[in-house]
Amino acid sequence: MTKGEIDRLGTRLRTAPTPEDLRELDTYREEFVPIFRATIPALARDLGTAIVSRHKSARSILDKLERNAPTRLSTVQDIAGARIIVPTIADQDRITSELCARIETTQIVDRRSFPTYGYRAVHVLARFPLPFEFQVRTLAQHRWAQLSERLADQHGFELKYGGGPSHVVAALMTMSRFVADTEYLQTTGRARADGEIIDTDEAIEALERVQMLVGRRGEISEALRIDG
Amino acid sequence: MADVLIAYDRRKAQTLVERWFEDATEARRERLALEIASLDQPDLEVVLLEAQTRADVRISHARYFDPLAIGVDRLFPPTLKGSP
Repeated sequence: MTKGEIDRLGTRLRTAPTPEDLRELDTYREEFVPIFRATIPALARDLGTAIVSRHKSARSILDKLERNAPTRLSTVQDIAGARIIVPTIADQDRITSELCARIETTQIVDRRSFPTYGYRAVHVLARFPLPFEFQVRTLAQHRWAQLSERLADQHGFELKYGGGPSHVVAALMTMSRFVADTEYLQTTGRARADGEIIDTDEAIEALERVQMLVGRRGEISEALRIDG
Repeated sequence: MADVLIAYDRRKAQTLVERWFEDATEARRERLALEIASLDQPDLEVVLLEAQTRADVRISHARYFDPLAIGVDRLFPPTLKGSP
C-alpha cells in the first residue's frame, strides 16, 4: 500500500470504520508478517531471550487514531511490536544494547528516568524497513504495567494517560516511584533494608521512600484494589 | 511457534476467546473475522500474539491468561523489610 492509501484508510478508520476498512487494514498489517515470522525468531535466538510479538489490534489502532487525532496511520510506530521481559535493570540495559547492535534503530525511548504517567520501560523503535517497536521491560516494570492495564479496564482507559479517579492515579504513580526506588537499590547493591550498606544520599532517600511506602501498604493496596 | 488469538472484554476483564494455532495464516484470518464481527463492541480487544512457547506468552500478557497474578502485592519484593 502507498503512504497515501494508508493515510486515507486512517482517516476512514477514525470516523466510521466499515468491515471493508478492516480488511484493508489487514492488508497493511500483512506487510509486517515477514518480520514476525523470520526477523523476530532469529533475534530471539541471537539474544537468547524470549520475544513475544504482538500485531496491534484493529481496536487499538482505532483508539489510537481517535485519541491522537490528526495522527496519520502511516506514522503510527507500533502497528507491529514485541515485548521482551528481563529480570533486572542490568539485563534491560544489556538486552537493549545488544538489540540495537543488531538492528537499524530509529529511536530509543528510555521511560525509566522520565516515566509516562508512571509507565517505565525502554522502547526501541526499529526499521526493518517497516517500523517496529520493541518494549524492553524488567519484571517489576512489567508487573506495574500489567496492574495499570488491569486497573484501566476497571476504571477506564484514560487511567493510562493520567485520567480517572485521582486516588487511583496517585497510588499508581506512587507505586511506579516505589518500583524505581527498589530497582535502584537492587541495582546499586543496596537492597538491604536494615541500613547497613546504605552509603549515598540518593540511596538513603530511595530507601526512606521505600520504607515509608511499605508503611502505607494497606492504604495503597486499597486504592489499587482489583474488583472481581 | 505459538500463535494465540485472544478476545478480551475490557469492561468485564474477562477473556472470552483463547485459541491457539499451528497455522499462522489461519490465525490471522480468524483474527480479521473476529475484528469484523466485533466492530460494534468497543470494549472487546482482539489480539494476536506470537512467541516461541506458550509459557512466554502467558508471562508477557498475563492480563489475558492469569488475572489473579496481577496485583499491587506483586510489586513488593518479598525480602523487603516491612513486607509480610
